Amino acid sequence: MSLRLKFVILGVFTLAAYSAAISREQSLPWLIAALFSASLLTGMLWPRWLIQRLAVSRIGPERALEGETVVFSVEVENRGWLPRFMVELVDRLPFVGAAENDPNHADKLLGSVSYVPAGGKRSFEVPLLCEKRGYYRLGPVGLASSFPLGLAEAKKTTNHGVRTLTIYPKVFPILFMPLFGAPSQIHRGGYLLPEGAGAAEFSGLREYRRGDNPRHVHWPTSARLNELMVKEFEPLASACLCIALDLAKDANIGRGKQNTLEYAIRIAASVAGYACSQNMHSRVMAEGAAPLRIASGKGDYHYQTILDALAVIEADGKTPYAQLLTQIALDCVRGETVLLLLSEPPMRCEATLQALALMRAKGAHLFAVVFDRDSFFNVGSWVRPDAGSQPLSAGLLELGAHCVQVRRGDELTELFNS
Amino acid sequence: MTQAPLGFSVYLGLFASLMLALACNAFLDIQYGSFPREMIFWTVIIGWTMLIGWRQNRKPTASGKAWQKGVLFFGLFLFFFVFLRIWDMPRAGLYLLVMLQASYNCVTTGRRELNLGLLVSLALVLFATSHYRADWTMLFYLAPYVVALVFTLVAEQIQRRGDDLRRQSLGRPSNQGQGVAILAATASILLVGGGLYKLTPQVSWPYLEWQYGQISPRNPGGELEQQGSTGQNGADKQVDVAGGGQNQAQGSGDSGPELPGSSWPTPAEMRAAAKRPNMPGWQAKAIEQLADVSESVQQTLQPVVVAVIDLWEALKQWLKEHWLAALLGMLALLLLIILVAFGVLLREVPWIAWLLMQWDYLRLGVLARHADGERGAVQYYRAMARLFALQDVPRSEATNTREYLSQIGRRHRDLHKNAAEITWLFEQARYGAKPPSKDSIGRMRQLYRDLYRRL
Repeated sequence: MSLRLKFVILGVFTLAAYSAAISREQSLPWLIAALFSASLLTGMLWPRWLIQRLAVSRIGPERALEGETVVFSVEVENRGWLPRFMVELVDRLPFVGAAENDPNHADKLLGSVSYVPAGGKRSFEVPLLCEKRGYYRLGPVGLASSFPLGLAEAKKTTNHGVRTLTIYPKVFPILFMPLFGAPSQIHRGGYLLPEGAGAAEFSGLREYRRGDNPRHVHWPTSARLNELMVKEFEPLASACLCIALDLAKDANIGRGKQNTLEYAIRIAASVAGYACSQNMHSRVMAEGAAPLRIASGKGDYHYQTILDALAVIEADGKTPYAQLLTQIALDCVRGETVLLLLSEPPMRCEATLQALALMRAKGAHLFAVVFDRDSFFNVGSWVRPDAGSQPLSAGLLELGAHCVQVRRGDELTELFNS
Repeated sequence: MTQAPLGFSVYLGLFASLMLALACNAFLDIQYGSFPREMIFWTVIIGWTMLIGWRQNRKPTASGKAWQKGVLFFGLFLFFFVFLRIWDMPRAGLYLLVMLQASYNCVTTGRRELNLGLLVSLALVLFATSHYRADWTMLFYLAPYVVALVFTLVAEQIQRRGDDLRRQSLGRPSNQGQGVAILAATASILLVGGGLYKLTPQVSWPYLEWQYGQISPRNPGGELEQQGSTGQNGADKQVDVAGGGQNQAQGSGDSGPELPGSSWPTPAEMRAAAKRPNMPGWQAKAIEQLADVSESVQQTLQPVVVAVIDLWEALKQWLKEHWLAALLGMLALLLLIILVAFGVLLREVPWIAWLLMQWDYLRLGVLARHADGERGAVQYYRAMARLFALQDVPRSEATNTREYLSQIGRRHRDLHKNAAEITWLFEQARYGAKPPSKDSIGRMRQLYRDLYRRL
């Protein structure tokens, strides 16, 4: 029953009680009428008073992984000198329910506190599932009360509790990827090489610096010079990766979490994670509404940068994938492996294949993840199967690309480790 | 939305409401000595049927419906063979209503049934208070009934709302304190209701008609059962009515009809009521104690009341003699309030603020006419705030010094250093262990002058 209707009904009852009381020379009808009036007054005024002098705080993590359950701790403090009852805490949590639909910005009820003593505090925990990656602005946390009779609802929004939550894409483990080594990159300095991805050759000696591997200390020279000296190596070949994401609007098919972009981002994040764990160089390129360019790098910080970027990107671009691939082809390193995430409409396959041919001509290796577009369309709606996917697959095979086909609902861990 | 089950406290409240409503009716027969027997009978009937209703969860079960029918037939049997013989109509009809409610109790599992039960209890109470045998002694059952009624309604509402919120909540906060919330809400409604009841002029149509010179009927209808009815009624003399209610207009002469609730029994009347035959012992004892308390309060308050009346009369006399002075005094006070309000508003006018700022600079910056110690620091800090207020950084009352400093820093990064030092010196003066030295105040003046020039 809506609040207005409740109020009207009680108001009518009150008027009826007063008219009955004035018609009868009795006290009880007056008392009943007074109680109705008291209920109206209490129901209308009390909620407004209840949410005054209350402070609320919500503490929780600022970063989380997709699929992880984060726990927010909510605390209500009563700074008044009278107790507060049935205080509802509402919050704007756009990531709740984001997996099925677009992030909705409706207020969510965190919970209600039945009783907060004067000058006291009450706290409770709210476990929430991080359904979909993204950068979310949480809050502000608001207070509401319709105590005691639900005749009126008072709401108060404070500026406190405005925070952000970055949900990173869910990463799956990759044990092995068929990558090829790139030629020497001596100017990048010595680093540990991925197993089987190349070799290193002695290039010289230098003084020991903090953090150097003690195994590389050259003891005879150190003894002679009375100073620790370490050997330097030149990597002859190492794998390096370029992740090319297609952020064109029409290349993203599906809804909520089950769309090609989400799959592509999961794959990109996992491959970047693999590269960083293997100490390989990786970079990310994409053309959305704003271009995404993460320069080649490695290490945890680089991986964090990639994850930060992948957490927020959306399929909001107009640039055809072929154009991005052409750019990559022009500045790619010979032997670099380009991770292709292909979900674009079939009509653009020809241009894409041309760009890939250019890439191959520049000496890049291709690792193609081809999305089965049909499987990502809404279940139940009839869709004409893509006629153009066959030439793309054939073209990729011709170019010597390593291909992985991804369908909606596929287990990516199995797919990439089989 | 699913229907929430009624809590135990709600059933308890409904049981109490029905039993107290029945007690009001049974109390009408107090002189015949049947009050305890009636109460035991109704306790068993209402208690048992309520237990059946409570043991079902949300939805009436087959056994509940079977009990409902059984109680209904039992009630009809009692109506025809017992109630009609003892009380006749309309009391017998009323008790039939109670039996119908008892049968309905067997399937009372939701809010609708609860409200109907409370409505029936209200009907019972209205009947009892309308009866010509009802008098102020019924308040011993009527007052707890009102409390039980409000408690039940509030408890149901709060428990249902609590259940709804728990269902919709993302978290799982503790339910602790709901009982306190119910009691607080009940108490507040009763207190406000009691206050309104006392404040409301309880007029009636006959009273209003008499007041405006109309011919008004005396003792208008409304009683469901009048003197001389058959059954357990006899020809007893009416003492008073519920809550000092109706029929008090009889014999009131030229004063017109009295308002309901306008009289309270004297200690002697109370003691007489306590000695009535078949009055329950606890009630008689309570009435005696009430009479003692009432008497002692009257004795204690008598001089105070006399003094207050004297003062009031003296005030009226003084006003009569000095009405012009009083009127002029009130007008002067009103003018003063308007002037103060105008002064406060005037400070917001930009050119007035500019003038005040210039005055500050002349007084503090140029002539150094500042106070000593903490007051001086406060003067310089306020002067700085006025300076920045003209530069679109006003300080609101809720903003503390640190927040204000950060606001200044955002708008005037180049002046942040000066503002920070003045703020620090002000904080030291205001909250520090020692009063500010002359050097500190001098430094504040220097910083203030610098700020003035740069702004």
